[in-house]
Amino acid sequence: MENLLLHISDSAKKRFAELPFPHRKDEFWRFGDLKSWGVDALFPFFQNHSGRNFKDLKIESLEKSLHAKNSIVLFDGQILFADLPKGVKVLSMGAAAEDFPERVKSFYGLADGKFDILQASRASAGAYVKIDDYADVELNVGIVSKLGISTAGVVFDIGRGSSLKLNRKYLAFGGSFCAVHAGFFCGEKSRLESTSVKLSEGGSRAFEREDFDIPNGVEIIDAFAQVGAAPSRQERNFEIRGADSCVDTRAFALLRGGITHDIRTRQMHRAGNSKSDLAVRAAIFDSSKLAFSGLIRVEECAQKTESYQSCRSLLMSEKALAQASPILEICANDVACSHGCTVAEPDPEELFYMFQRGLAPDSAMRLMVRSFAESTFEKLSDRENVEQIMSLIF
Amino acid sequence: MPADNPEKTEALPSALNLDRSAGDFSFAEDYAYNAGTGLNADVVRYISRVKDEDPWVLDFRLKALERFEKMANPTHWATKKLDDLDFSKIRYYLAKGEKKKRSWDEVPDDVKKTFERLGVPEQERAFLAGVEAQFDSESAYSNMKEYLQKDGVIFVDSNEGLKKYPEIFRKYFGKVIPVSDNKYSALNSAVFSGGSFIYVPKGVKVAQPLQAYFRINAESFGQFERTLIIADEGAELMYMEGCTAPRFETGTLHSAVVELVALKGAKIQYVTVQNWSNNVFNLVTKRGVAEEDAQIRWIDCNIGSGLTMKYPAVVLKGERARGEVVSIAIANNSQHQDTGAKMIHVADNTTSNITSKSVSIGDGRASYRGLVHMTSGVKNCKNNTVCDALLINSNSRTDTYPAVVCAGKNNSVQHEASVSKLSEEQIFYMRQRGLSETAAMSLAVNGFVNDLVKEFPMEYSVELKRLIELQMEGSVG
Repeated sequence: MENLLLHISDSAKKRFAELPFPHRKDEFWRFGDLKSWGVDALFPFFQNHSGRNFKDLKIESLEKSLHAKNSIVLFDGQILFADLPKGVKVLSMGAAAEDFPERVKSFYGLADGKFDILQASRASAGAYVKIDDYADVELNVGIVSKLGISTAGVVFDIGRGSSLKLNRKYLAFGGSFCAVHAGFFCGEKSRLESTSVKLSEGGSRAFEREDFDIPNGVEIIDAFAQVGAAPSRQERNFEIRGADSCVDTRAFALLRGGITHDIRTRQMHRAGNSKSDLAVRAAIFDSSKLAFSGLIRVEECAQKTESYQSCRSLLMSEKALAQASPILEICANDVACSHGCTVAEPDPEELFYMFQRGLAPDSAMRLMVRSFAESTFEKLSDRENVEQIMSLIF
Repeated sequence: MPADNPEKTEALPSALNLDRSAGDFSFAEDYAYNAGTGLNADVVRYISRVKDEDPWVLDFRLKALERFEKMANPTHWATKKLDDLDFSKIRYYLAKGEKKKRSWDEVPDDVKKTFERLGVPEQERAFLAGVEAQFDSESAYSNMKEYLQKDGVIFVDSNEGLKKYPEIFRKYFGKVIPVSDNKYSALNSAVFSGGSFIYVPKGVKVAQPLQAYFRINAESFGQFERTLIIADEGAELMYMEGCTAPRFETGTLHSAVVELVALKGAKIQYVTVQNWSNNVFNLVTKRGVAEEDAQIRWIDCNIGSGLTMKYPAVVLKGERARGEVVSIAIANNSQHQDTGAKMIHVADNTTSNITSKSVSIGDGRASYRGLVHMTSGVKNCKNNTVCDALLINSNSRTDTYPAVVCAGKNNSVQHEASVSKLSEEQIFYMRQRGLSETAAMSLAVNGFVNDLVKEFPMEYSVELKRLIELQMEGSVG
């Protein structure tokens, strides 16, 4: 079925040419850093002229640690390494188009923005991860981007009744424009516990989109951390189309060096009796900026939905900026929905308390940000993994 | 020449659907001045000529028209319903050509009857300091208590303000809301007529409210009043406006611009009860500038209209200025109440508060759309926003589109929104005690908005409760 991928790539190329770059009147890019994602800023990446001007030792050591047991490593969209536990299969996109054409089609059919379409225009780049029904597995996935334009599409086909503990690491090296699109197709009554850390080195651009397809009885516990010195954008869509499902998703961003991090989320409730809870936290240093926009939509048929969303930003400098737009669109009356949004500086009393006990200002600040970040990972069962993530961030 | 036989007027059948609500009636059209249907530069010149305006005003209008024609409808974020507005089918100026009266006895019979049925003269006698009543494009009646005139308070319609007090009017006119702020402020600037001009001198506190009543009588008509209120240092006033129109077959447009200026230590409260009929597009731009220690409060209730888009704003320009928006929106079948608030903090130690409650009935849709902006460089600013929505039927809809932009030092912004339905237990309790289902629901809705209704002057809050009860009729099932 190579023809299927060819067809997907060709039509995506056409759509990519037709679609404008993000602009002021595009509500989905409201508050976004349009300059960093405009044609002029991205042109050097397309020419592969950007180059790696910054070197982050953390990202280099992390790259080396990816080749481990129960791991898959994708290097610029190609499967570089795979050590798989029982119950997991990994296929190239070409092979997946043969074996699971409908799923591949529906995955690429989700692409509707400029940069996920860019990813679809290279439909063969990526991997298809199949988790067997009723399997109970742990898996590490590393996605490394080094090329000028580096794209990867990753499909997680999670079998019915299975349980997947997934640890992902996204590494965007300087000089690389990285566009990753991940699709999670959960089987009924499956469970997904996912942690992700995204490191973007200065001089890179990191775009990432994740779509979660959620039928009946699915449980998702998800935590995402973004650290880095490059403009990045993250789009996360939760399509809840089954009853008795529960999604708990949290994201933390540590922003330094005057960059803008863009987070867009959608909690779409298309069936009743389900629950979703989304929390975004950002600690914003220097003249960095958070642009958050989150949508909760409850369709008329989704009665008895519970859906919540919160966004809390900590301004660590006078020049830091937080822009948040939490949106509710509710078309059913028997629901419990709310959103909250706060922007504030560190509490001076808490800082004073720490200074009194001999902590230097830097350490006190770090401690404060760490405690602020910790709630993002509090629901994860693997505490060792959480400690590793925290040591990566701080 | 203005488009489409400007001088010709046609009579319409009178007294349409008298039984539905207090505002749903109209009288036959009898206009001496009619700018015709459609909008072009000739229509703008015609309006300016009829009003005998200075050349700079005509120039201002023509430039605004140019801006209006260049600007697109903001449908990239707003409802596509806006595209249903056909600007070529609207009449932009209708007036009887009579001078504004100071006594109700001199007001033409049909206009007087209109306002009597709406209870305006009665309210004036009972508790108002002054009243202005606008019938279609022009003000038909304007009066103010004598003691206020002695204090130097000015309360006239905008066109009179423009002519008699140019030194104050021109200084602030179009400064709070520039012509090109949005498509509809540009439209208003091109064809504005009527509205109030109020100036309260230094230190004068107007104890009783001033009221304006806006009435649309004609079909396929656009009302474009322009209101400018200036409270000088330490002055205080409360201004109330009410709006009604009869129900016609074709759409009607109401597109006002309201500018408030509260100078150092001044307080302005602006109360609106909007009960337009369901075919009115109510697209209003309202904004106030609060200087040092000044306060501006928008108290807003939207019950009528087919589509309302209104986001009262306060620019907190002086230190310790305070802004507040209290908003109630009731969206019944086929209505869309797209309301909200904007708070722009550009000075230190400023505070703002937004409280919004909406009720959606049947397939009605209530949207909150707001912006809280704290620019970098300001410090110690605070905002608190609370939006609560109540959904009555299973097909009702509510949306919340807030935006928060926060930078600077020691600023804090909080936003909360929640959605709920009527409590079945409450309804059951009330039904057990002999209330009908409609009465029980109406009582529950009144309870939901009660804490905000209390913010309105007492005479209005009683009327509001009655209007809410009316809206609840037929919502069961």
